[in-house]
Amino acid sequence: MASDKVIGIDLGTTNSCVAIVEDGTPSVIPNRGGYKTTPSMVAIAENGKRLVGHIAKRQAITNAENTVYASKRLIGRKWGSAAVRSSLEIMPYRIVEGPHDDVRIMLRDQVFSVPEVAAYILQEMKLISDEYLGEEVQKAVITVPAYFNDGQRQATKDAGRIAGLDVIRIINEPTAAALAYGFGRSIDRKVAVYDLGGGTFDISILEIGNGVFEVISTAGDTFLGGEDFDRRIIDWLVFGFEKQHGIDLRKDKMALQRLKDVAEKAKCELSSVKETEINLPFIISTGRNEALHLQTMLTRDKLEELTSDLVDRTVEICARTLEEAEIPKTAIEDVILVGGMTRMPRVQQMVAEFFGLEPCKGVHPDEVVALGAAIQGAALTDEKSDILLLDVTPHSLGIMIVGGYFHRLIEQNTTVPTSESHIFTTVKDNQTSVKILVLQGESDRAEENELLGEFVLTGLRRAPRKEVEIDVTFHISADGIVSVKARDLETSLEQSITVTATSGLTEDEIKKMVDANKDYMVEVRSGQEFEKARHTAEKALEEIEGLFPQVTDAIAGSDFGQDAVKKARAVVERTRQAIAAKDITSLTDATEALNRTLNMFRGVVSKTRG
Amino acid sequence: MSVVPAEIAGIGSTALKLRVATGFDPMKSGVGPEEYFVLSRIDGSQTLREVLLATGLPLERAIQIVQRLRAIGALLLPGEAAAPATASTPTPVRPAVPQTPRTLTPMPPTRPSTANIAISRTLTPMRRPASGTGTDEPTAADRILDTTLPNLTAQERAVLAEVVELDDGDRRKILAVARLLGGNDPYEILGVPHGADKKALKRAYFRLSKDIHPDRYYGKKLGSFGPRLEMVFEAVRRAYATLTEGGARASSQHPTVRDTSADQPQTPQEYAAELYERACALEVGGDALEAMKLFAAALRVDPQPRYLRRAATCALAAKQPKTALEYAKKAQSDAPDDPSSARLLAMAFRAAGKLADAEEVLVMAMAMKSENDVLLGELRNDLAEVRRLLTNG
Repeated sequence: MASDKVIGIDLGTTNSCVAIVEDGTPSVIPNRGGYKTTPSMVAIAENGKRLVGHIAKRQAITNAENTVYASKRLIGRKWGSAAVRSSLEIMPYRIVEGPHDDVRIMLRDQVFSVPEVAAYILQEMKLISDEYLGEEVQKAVITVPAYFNDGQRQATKDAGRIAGLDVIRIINEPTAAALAYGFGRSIDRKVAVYDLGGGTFDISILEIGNGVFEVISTAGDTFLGGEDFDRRIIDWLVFGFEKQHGIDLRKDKMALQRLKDVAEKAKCELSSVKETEINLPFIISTGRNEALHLQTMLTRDKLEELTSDLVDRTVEICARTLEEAEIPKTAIEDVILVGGMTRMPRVQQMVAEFFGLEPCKGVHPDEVVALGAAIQGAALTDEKSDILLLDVTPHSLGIMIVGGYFHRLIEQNTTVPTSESHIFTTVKDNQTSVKILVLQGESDRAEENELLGEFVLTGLRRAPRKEVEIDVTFHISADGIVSVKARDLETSLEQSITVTATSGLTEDEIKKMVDANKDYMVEVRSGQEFEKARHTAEKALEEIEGLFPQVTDAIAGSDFGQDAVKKARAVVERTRQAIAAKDITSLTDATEALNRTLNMFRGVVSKTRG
Repeated sequence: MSVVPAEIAGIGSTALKLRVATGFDPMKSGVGPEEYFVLSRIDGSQTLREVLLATGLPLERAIQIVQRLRAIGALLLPGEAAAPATASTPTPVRPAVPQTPRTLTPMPPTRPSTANIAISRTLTPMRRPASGTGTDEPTAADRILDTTLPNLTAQERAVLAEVVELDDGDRRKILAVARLLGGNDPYEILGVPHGADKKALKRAYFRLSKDIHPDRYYGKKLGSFGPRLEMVFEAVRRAYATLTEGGARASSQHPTVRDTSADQPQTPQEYAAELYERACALEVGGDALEAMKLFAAALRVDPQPRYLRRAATCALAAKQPKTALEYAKKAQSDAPDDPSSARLLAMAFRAAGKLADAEEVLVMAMAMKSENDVLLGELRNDLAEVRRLLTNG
């Protein structure tokens, strides 16, 4: 029987969790084994059977090559990306290139796309819910790290579809955490969510009041998480072993998997004890029918030393996020810790030190995200819910303009739904078409941003360059769908696209596109503004020229008179150059200096008269 | 007890300047002598607070009267259009039937600040229809959103008749907010009095969002209301952003300011002077950031060069180079022949990392005639330091 219920799924790097709101109360749905979280692992057994969750984890040591973990690090990524490169080295399973510059995973002799692997995990979470509820769930809200780009979000949505779920919304993990934190409490405050999970770090600032959750700012690092902490322990163990025995354990897949397990276990233990013993008997065979064992002690201090730069990095990101949002640290009234890594005492201590307040203890770091997703699901579909989430777009959106620059139309952290328009002009004489390249990212160079889509507007009037005006409008709906429209203001002809994920364009290809499409580029219309600025500047120039003789007289006696006149001449010259170069930015700057000089000149003159 | 509350239920801020609706006929509206007297004092140039204090009536009584006058359509808020011609009939001009009896009930005499009582009540679910049942009362802090939509345009009529999964109350609410957008006054769009503080703005923004954010109608067939909701939400968001970003940031100042001196009407200049003094005290006490906020507030009330200079100095001390530069620029352009203003500007430029500008200003400042040798020495030192930084950078 189909159900209208909406589950919330936290699809984590290492563990996943599912929750639902029933009778106004959100709760986590335990799996068959009674656990509230399920390992995000998928394996293919020798008999070709697909294994998911705890079963997959249990057989990982003996079947490391065919067991996928941390697939979230690969979802929506391009084959050529640095993220995938570094995964190639450390993952025991085989990562291969897909047909669209995407990533595939090879298990036994089968090739899987990353969304497929994620879908198996989602399917498992769906099954857990179906059994628990006694009816088939169809709708879900799935969480992703705040810093996921459009491609990664779309790939996660695709995974949901493959798993037979209607993904009604993708929301950010820290936002979900804040929803769970604020649910059912009448709070009115600014909070920070510090989310250090298995694979990603996110920081979000929210304003909560009257059941409304407004995301103010969000940022993070998609490649910083618990797995990096584990890897530091593994490297330390491997290095120590190599020094002792001259053998690199990383070359042995099974040994690597055992190291991974023991490193994660040791890390977790050191959150409650000061030191722990690492013991891996028969870790490797020397080939002379004799086996070597790995046995050592790891202290909390050592772990903190090994990972201190990782923790520092999270704090730096926090500081930067607050600064960019122009929010003083003292304005934060509560800090919510999310993700298993926040159990580490050092992390808690650094966060408390940075914000100057003890983090909130009321939420369960492993469950809070799934609970929040379920709450958002209910907020959207349940008439009785009184929760509203005002979410933001995590990245800036814009188009490529002449010279390969990126022109932003919608700034990152803008509340959605939103729309923004800007007028562009042609760059060549008799240019009859323009190509609109829709990009996402923060770089001023187009090729450093992610290409979301492209389209061509044709049928423009043959005219001298800069004469034909094209109005480009971006729109983001409440569920984050981006659409772009370009309209020829003369003829009202228009062309538009709704952006769906693109897979397959490398930075090189975009670069090539920049070159190939030079003739079709648009330019930001600056003519009008420039004329205005020029008018102002010229008026000021005229007046200042008139004042020069008087000023020179007035300040001739002063030791610094000549210096000042020289400076003023330089400003005048700078303004003239900006006018000649038709550069609006430098003209604005120069005019400001010019007006200031003019003001002082007036002052000097009036003073000598008085 | 005669403290004028900051807000009055059914009207809003007492800082508003109300005027009498054109065409309102007191003879036909059944007002009493006291009410007529109060009405005669409302001239569009005095604030409500001044009117209340000028009537000579007990404050509670005066408040009741203006509330009643407002309820029967005699009073218009700033920016409100004149009431329709029906004003000459004894029926209320604004046929907001459910509101009339409520606003007539006397206010609790012990709690003049009704705004605070009402706020907590905005937690009531917002999905109920706005009109019809009469249970979804607008609270005192709420703008009374006129969902009766007088003088429907043909387009609005068509939209109201559309087959969509929205009840009439929701439709009217959305259209009523849409009507406010034309005015382009961000305060009016949010339904808050002019000069409302940041908290009030946030409250209003959140409250409105719950009515007009598209997610509140997720999965419903919305027809033309879909794009309309997005448009209206966007406008409300922008109004909120306009009022909270940048300069208004500092307006989250202490709400007690107005109440402490409410016994006597205070001129804006007096008020600014008070803020200035408090800011100076804070600055002396070492809290530059707070002081800066108060200076900024004083400036908004009464822009005087002396406030500007102190605010800029404060901002420098509080490590807010952007703000410092903004103030210093203004201060310098107000007193272009004053070398000390120029020096302040140079310091602000330097703090903002604009060394070349700092150098330029310092050179100009040194060329100005000044009897103050100490200042000249300081300028010389500054210039040497800036030049040193310039060559090293």
